[in-house]
Amino acid sequence: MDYSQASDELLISLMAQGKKEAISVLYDRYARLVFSLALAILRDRQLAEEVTQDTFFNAWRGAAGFRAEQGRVSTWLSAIARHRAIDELRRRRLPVLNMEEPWWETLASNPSSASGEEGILLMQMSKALSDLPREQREAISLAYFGGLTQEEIAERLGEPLGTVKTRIRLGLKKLREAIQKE
Amino acid sequence: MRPETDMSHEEIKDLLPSYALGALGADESEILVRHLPTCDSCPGELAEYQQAVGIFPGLMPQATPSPKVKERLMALLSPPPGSAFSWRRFALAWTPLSLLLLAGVLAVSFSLSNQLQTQQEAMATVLNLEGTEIAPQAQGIIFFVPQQRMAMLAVRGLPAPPPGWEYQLWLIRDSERHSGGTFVVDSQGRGYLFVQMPQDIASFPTAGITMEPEGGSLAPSGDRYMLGSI
Repeated sequence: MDYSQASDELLISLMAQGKKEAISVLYDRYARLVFSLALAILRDRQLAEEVTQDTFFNAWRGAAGFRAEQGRVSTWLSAIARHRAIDELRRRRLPVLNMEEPWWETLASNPSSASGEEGILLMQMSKALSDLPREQREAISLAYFGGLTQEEIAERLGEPLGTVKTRIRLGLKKLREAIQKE
Repeated sequence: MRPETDMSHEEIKDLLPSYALGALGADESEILVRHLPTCDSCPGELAEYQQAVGIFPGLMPQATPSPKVKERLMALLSPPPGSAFSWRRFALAWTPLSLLLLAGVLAVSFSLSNQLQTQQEAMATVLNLEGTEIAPQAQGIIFFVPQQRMAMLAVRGLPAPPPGWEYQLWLIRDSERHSGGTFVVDSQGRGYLFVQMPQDIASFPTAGITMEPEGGSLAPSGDRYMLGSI
């Protein structure tokens, strides 16, 4: 069987049967995505590599529990990686991402890297994030990359909790609407 | 204790964006988690928020990990889950005798791995878990070795979680809650988990198990099914 042509879901199913070739292909497909996310959160290549290894190892162990109807494989892997990276961030008391850096604009500066349906979604999200008021984007970024709760964000920014809740709610509603327009 | 709420549906619905970002506190998370199975509209709306958040990683500046990461990963995968021996099968068939045997194996292997460690330090410590009022028949046990960073959890008698949910182990020290990982159970309510921690696992005197959305939570948000202390 040519594993390289298999769908993500089939690879997960083969992993659940103990097929090491399947996770090898899945790794080649998504290692950059997982590593880049971990690196963005941790800012440390060695730690990000540990998180990448752990993420795929956990995917291997948890393959039998994956349910395709609940989301895409890439989203599942990203969620595992983010949890693991934020766990590491907290344990080591590392600083949270500098929110001044426009992580959402990387794609806009290199649009050729995005293609197909996936690329359209990425471009829509990049633009929607750019269009958000800075305060809403900042609250969302602190929650996503720093793993901070609403209360922790309010404390960090010196803003009322209600204000932070509103910023996150309004911001994420706009992002959700942006990818549903097409 | 379950947080009580008199929040309206609209107010609970407003929690969805923060929940999708993982930014809700434990009490609000629990309120929402309790609400979701009873609501026709919120699960779908939550999925849409999660889809939006799920796009973020693709926006990151893309970087490539060292080839050694894949080499190490592939080396870790033996034996695979379907091979003749697997910890999963072992744990599913666990008995008090097999767990005692495991404790011995752990103690001996850790002892051998560290010549400087005294025999007393290498003895595995046991933490017994009891089911709470919502799972009174559940029993569990954690073996860990002082000064080491690995342990094994085995449970039985836990109810099977609904689709999209799984159990999560929490190691508790004062107000800290550290995730020990997630696990599923078979039709007999039996499950296992290997726990690896960046710090001395024996410094956590208490452990609990909650039901969480698949993939686990950053902090306990669901019902507590088991609890135990050294």
